[in-house]
Amino acid sequence: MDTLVDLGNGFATALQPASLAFALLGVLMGTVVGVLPGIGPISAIAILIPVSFGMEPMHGLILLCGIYYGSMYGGSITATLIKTPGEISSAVTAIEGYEMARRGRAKTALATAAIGSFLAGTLAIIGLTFLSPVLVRLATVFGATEYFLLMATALLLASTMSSGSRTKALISVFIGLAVGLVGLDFQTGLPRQTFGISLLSDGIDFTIFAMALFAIPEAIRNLALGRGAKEEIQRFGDAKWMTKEDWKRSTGPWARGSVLGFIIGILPGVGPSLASFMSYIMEKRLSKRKDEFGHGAIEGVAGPEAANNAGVGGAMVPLFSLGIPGSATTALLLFVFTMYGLQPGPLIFRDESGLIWAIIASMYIGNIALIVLNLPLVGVFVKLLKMPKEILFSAILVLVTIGAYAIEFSLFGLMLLGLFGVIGYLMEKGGIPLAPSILALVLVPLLEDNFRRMLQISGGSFLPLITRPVSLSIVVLMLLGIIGPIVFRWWVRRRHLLMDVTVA
Amino acid sequence: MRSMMIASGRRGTSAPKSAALTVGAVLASLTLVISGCGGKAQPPGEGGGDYPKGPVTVTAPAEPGSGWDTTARAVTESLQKEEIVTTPLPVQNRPGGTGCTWMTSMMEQEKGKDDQIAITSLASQTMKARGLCEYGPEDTTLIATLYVEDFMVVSPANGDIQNLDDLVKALGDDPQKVAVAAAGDDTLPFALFAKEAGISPADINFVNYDGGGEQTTAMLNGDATVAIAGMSEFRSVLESGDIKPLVTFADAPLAAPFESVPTAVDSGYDVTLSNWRGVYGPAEMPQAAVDYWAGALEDLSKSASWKETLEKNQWAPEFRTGEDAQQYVEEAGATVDAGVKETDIGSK
Repeated sequence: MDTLVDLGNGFATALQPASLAFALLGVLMGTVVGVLPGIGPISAIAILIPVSFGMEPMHGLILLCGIYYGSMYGGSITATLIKTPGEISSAVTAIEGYEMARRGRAKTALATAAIGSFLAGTLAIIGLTFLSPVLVRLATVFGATEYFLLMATALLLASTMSSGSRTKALISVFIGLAVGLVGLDFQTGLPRQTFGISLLSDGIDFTIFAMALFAIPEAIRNLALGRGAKEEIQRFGDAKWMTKEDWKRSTGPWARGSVLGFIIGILPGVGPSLASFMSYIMEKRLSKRKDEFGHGAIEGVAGPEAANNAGVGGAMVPLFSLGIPGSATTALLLFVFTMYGLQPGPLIFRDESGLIWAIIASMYIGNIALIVLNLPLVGVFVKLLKMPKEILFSAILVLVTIGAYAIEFSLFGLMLLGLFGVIGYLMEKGGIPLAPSILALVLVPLLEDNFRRMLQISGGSFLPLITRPVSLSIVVLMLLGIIGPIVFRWWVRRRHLLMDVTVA
Repeated sequence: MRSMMIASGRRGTSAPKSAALTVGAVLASLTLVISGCGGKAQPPGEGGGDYPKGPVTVTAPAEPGSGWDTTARAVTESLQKEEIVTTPLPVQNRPGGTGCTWMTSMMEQEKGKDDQIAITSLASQTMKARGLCEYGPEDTTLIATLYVEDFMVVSPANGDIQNLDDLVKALGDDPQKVAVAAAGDDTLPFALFAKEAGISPADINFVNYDGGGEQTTAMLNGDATVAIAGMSEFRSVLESGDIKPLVTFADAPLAAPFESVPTAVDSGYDVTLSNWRGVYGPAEMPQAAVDYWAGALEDLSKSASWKETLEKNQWAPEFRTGEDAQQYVEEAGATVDAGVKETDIGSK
């Protein structure tokens, strides 16, 4: 009950005109930086830090938090319309979202993304409000062993992301792994696969890789078609709202994505990006229309978009309750708290309860603002697609180039963009799916670090995999997942054989 | 509640007006975000008495949110707030090779310029000592050291290791069983300490983590036995009592509330090493600009808002300029060189 009283007081503060204005401004700016490729919430927050120091702590924090969760909305727009993910967490939306747009269902895709984001964002804040004290334990139960198993499971599933040849999907996974290993080895700090080029020592930026693989091949393909070949994208501009069927198909993914995203978001170091990939894989596995995946399945947009928004809410749990930042963006938010003389952690809910509840309340309000802002904009954004494709795709190339440059302000980024763009085009020509390599790139550092930590801590023994209760459960589930289907298939075949015998 | 009261006090008088102003400032910054403008400064002129004429870029050679980044932002914030420097001071992030990429640019491309300063620290000395970077802070135009962050070894409050003696005993029994969570070159002071305690630094089981947040999690979930980092990394869990301090490598007892934490020297282990942070300029920076910045940073070090920043972040003042700073940094460099040779942390 105390929580409700605190939250009520929080709303009273958050609804004051100035607080409200900063919440709205924050989510608006979040949407904008989400849309722009290469400029993520982290750059926006960094640039606004000097301004926020001049503000009251509460207003500054409401603004910056608004940018963070607001950016999760914007990312889906470019991913869907022009296959250019603005943020890591919306990379997966570029798969089904863009396919839906090609089939004239851009409006539906954006609507299910926006509504899913709203529901998941709100559910996650409810989780943050009421379940923080319980869930924060999750962050401290998961050790290196459990993280390793989690990442290994995700990697196993990566090859099931695409339809078609399993071998080609694995090739894609290996391309992602190879790219992900470039840079300084995390445990020893020595360079690997950098070919002596010092610019490679920081590794390949995820956003450059994702933009290069998704946006550039698509642009080349469409521009290469020439004026005559209109049929390829002829239905781009049509627009229909969500039908009853769409609502029905979206509800499940929204709910599952919210829960999954929130839980993954809580785990420090993992965050919203992995949540959206995992939700996609889960939806594909659960769907009765598996063949539609890769050709514009609405579940593949609804689930991941819900998951990445819920992930942001989840990431706030360890930040607020333990003072532990789970990602670079939350680390920056933690610094802002510190500069205001505030220390997130177990004591902040006691010492600064008025402030922290006002921020949480502003998130409820911000989410409502986002849906009100985004739904009408759907129609406006979709009109972009009516542009002649020569102009549209040239503009995309320009946008992607600026984005790649903005990441490190170096021409080297552009060269990488070009190189991986060509690789992506060749992969697509060869029927090698792109998404698994992007997921592999996200996973490889997490997988490797935790694997090596596990072995270092155990002195080179693999026993922790089965001696810790949580890790043992994951191993058992993994084995069931791998062996289960094989046994089932064998059993079904045997029954058929037996029946054949009986009939004969 | 402190800030809430201040907040409501201010709101009563001029909130709408200041809010409107702030909204304007925010919108202006948004334009910066959109144009992707990193704030490349224009040449501030040919020196002379009225330096700086234009903006001076302050580079944090790491990601936003990192230690160097927070230092850069804290410094510019106080310089502007106290009106010590009135020209714009855009902060830019140029991550790469633990600061090496930007330091190399400052030594080569930006040579002789006066519109650039950057943040550096002990970590850059480790990079050089390990042969991973051609240049170290002592090779640049070092302008000043600003403060130090003291290293602290901590353990979970309910764990087996309750004090420094427990730690030394555990390390003596089987160093492999003591997983030491460390981030980057935080391993150095611990390795030197181990050597003093009669344990081969090469036997220490260092496990690398990405900063204090991950280290704290690793201790709470039982992966790590102890952790070493700059003490501000553990602030929230030290305050809440989930984690307890064992020893610090500071040269004098820490400020309250950590005055009772033993220093290594007082406990009989002769190790003193602190992570200093400082400011440097391009190679061959004009003397007028060096003098200007040395003076401006000295004013900064005396200002109220900077003192407040130091206190909030648990940073200890260590302001030095000129020869004094150069000497301090070279001494730290010698300790780092020795440490890198003693331990087997990877080097070329």
